[in-house]
Amino acid sequence: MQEVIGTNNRMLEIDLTAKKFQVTEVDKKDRDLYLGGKGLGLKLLYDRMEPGLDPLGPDNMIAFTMGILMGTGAPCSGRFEAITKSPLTGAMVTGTCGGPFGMAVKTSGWDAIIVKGKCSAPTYLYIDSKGVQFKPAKGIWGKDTEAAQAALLKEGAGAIVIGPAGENLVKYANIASGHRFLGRGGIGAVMGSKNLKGIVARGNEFKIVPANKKKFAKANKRFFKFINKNPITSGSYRSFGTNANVNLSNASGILPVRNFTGGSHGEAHKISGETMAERFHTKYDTCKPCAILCGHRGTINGKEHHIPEYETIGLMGSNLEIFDPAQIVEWNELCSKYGMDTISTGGTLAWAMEATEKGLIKTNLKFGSPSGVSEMIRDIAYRKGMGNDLAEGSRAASKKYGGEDFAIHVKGLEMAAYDPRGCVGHGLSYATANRGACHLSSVLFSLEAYLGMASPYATRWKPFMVKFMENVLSAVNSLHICLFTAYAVFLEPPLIKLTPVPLIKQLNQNLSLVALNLMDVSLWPELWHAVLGKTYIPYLGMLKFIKAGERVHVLERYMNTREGISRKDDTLPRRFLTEGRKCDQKEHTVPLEKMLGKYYRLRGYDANGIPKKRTLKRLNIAIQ
Amino acid sequence: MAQMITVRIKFFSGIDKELKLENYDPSKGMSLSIPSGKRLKWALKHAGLTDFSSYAYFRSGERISTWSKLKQGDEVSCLKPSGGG
Repeated sequence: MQEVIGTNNRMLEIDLTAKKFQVTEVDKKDRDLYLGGKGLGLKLLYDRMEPGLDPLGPDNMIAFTMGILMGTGAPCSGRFEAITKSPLTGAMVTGTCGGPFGMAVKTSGWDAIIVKGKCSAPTYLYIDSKGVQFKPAKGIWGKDTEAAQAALLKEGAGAIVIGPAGENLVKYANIASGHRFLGRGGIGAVMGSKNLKGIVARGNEFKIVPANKKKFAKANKRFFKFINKNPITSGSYRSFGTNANVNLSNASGILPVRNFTGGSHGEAHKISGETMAERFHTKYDTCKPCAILCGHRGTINGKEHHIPEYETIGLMGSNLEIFDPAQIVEWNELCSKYGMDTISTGGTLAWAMEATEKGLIKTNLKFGSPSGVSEMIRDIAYRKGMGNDLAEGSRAASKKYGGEDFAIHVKGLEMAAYDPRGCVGHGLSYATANRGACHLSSVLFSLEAYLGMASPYATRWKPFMVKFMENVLSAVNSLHICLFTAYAVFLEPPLIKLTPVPLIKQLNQNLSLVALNLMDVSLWPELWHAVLGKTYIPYLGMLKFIKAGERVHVLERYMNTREGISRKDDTLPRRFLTEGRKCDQKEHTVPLEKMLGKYYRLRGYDANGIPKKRTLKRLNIAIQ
Repeated sequence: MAQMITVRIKFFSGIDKELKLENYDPSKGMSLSIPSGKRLKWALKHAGLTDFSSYAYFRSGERISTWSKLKQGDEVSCLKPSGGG
């Protein structure tokens, strides 16, 4: 097998309308400024896409990018990204996935693929080191994600496909690779709008070798040690999957209950990771390569099933007041087969239940009752009856029927399973996150509610914490290493490990600038430098890495502002701003306005939330 | 003699199994009668937990330390730490 030292620096630009492709080189300056992966993908589309285009029109593009670390043996680095303009939000959307497609593309010799145009008939693409073949998808169009993948995987090592939801342009349709998904924002609908059923990559043609093997091995060894020592990455996730969060969210009052009217529930333990592990005899079923092993499979009535992730459990379980884990497993599998985001599906179903209760729409959906939910999921995927309206998402449905106050979304993207009234800094993060109510933009709920490292209700320093975490996580997402490695990288270095949690909380609350800058996140940039054979200068290399993350985040924001996003969109559903919850001893709401202006100033945005020219210049972002 | 108070401790993440609690119901937890003014650390030892430094404790939605003083009717959840999903 031919060796690639560091990275290929080659990409494919595919025009579906013309059935042509072009091989181009990745600009090394862009790769270094944006780190590859998500950052590079955004830059590629920034250079190529005009603002204001129809997300479901042929001019919209999808960039698939593989990370610099992919294929090198770095822990949890088998991830790839898709970037496009979202039909659900009208803003840019980025999604990361641990399925086998990324590794197959990278080992076919490509660092990125850009798809534009529209096929005249259903098509799938075959990719190998020579280029692209356009093949008719007649036999697989209409098939679910499992059947479609089974057909495509006869030709290669990894594939992505859409299900019926993507074909029917459901605004929150996703893309499947293995049993992992590019979940949010309707990337699957963009593929469907292009008549593109899937892409299969041959893979296993190239071996990726770090340029500086010695330095890479040293950093990698330390990384694995941290992952295996950390109680989150080697304990809870490994034993119970991300569902370990159910009891934790319940205890900390941030579990969504009954369309986010409550933050905890007495029956929550019935849908927890612990209960599922015991009832369904779970075993690992993860992304590859993975050192954390959070994905699980289990046996229900003699048949193997994928165990849903925490977000699915939160949104399709407690948020609908359903506490039967087997039922949620069934809905999760339906969504997986149809190719629909479980967060948006759950959030939209919860809106429909409340809207039905309030007499705004007529359905047989009811909180606490599983009756009619499976049928509605199918109706959404095939756009039948009320399912056709719900396929547009909770924002569009509430505009049509009323009930905008309880449509739980930001910028059109349904909220993840953390109630911001129990972690107000995360409320700011939800409001300002580039892709909408995304939990992964800053993951501040973790510091505030789970780890006790910041006061959940204080606003002081929160804008700074959100900005810092967004910058670091944007950089990590550009490396395409799993975000869960953050717990090992952040919490295992000796300085923070030996500091008592209450002291960290005090430091974060009073001297956050000092506290967060003391965090040692050097492992990530060390690996990146070693793969590319670049010299890593301690501390300065880390600052450069965080600045690259800032560049990625601000570029995405700037692209969104060109689509009309501004301060008016950086808000939260009224429920979080005005309604307290019974589960709190003292009722809390999110004091968003108190934090928003400060956040903009720290970010270098104007009062309307638009990045200032000098901010763009400082970050080497060319104004278009 | 110190006044006695009643508190409830709910164990999750398999900690109940480590404590070998029989017929344990996580929705009810374990009810403990302890002297007034005692800290969580004391109650945990009383419940049979020996290594409690690596767990997370929550009372009324907020994380607390083992040094927190307990009050009548307190409900404390005891879990292994986790991150985000």
